[in-house]
Amino acid sequence: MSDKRCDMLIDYFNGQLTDEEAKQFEEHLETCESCQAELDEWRSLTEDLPYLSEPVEPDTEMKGRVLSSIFEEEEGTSTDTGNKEQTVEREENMNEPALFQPKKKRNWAVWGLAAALAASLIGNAAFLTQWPATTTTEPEEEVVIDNLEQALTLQNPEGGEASGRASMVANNGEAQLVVQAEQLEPLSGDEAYQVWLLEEGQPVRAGTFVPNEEGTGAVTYPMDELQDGNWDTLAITKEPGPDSETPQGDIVLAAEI
Amino acid sequence: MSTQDEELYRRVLHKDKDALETLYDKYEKLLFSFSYKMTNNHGLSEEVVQDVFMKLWTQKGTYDSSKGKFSSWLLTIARNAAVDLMRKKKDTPYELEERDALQTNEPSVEEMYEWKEEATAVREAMRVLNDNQQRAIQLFYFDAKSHREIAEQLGVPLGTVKGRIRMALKHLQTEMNRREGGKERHE
Repeated sequence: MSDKRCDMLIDYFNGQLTDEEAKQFEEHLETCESCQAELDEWRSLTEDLPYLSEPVEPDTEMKGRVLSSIFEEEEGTSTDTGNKEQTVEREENMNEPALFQPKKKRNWAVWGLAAALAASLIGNAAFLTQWPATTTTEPEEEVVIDNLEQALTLQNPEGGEASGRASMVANNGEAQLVVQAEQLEPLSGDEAYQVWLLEEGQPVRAGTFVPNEEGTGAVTYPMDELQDGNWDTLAITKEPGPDSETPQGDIVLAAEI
Repeated sequence: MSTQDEELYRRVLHKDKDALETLYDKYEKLLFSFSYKMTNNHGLSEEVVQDVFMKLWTQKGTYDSSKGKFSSWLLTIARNAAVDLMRKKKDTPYELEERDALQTNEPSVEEMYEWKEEATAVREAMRVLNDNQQRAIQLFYFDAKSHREIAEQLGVPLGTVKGRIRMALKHLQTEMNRREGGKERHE
């Protein structure tokens, strides 16, 4: 258990590792019970520490700025709210021992996916209009429109009512995977639909959503969350919970990339 | 209190904006204050808060009630976001602000009941720890320093840092448990 890599635990927890080091450490973590136990222990022992913070009053307009930028982003446009440096989204999951996962560098290899999608999707232009590329030097306050890079149609391999679309969208230079689906079966309990990208049968999570009462749902997922991959398939499965690490349920929609 | 949070979370999963706003109102100040304690910077703290609610809204993370309190989950996301931002800003030093600048001394808002209660327990427990243990917790948890920096600042060998952190945290926990006695945690 006195693996040298165990010494990286503090730097992992505190985000001090390079991406490469963090990846190595995560591999180690999968098999090292003592590091897993230590991380769990830190998590539970530090749970109350944030309450040591002295109360600080945010300025009164913060709420408006934060919520409007969140809702605007969701609607596919974003205005400049002063927080130009959006932090990159990453998965936060209490099931994972990893408390900190360093950001992946923007991964231009994912544009390979866009190119591959393009090849398979000619004729599918009905779904979204392709906007002209916007320049990156937007004046402040100007609305930046997402650029649709590619789209693909999702169907149930077994047949059925459900249908969906997946598209690759660029917003301010961030690549986003946008998945929408209709006429999905209703869920019960904690069930959720999950999106997966597959490479030779190996799935990687790419978003979770719960459809509305009409069976329509959507999710966006930042592509720089994902590691390199030559994705060949996109699939949506119905999962018993929103946080399956690997698909447990049946595929309800899929498309070849 | 937790069931109320869980219900709101469930509604957020169904894209209920009012539910997100309710959670925002409830946790804005706690998250902001915690982020400020870590980053010492109002701008970064706002970014952290935005990041947390963005994750919640876009469902980048999933909360599982069997794994702990909703508030703890939010605070974990906040810490990760703060650590992330601090790392990002390391090369372009941001302005450290006067700590007392916008501090208030009246945390007596109703919705801060939970915070106050937690704060009293953890503050009292913290006071029992010796200076070195308190510093270890500050450097490790709030400053999110590297292993090496923690060793240097505590003046101890690298190999003993983990043990010291564990001792300090365990001591704190023991003191908190002792204070709470058999009292049920309110969540």
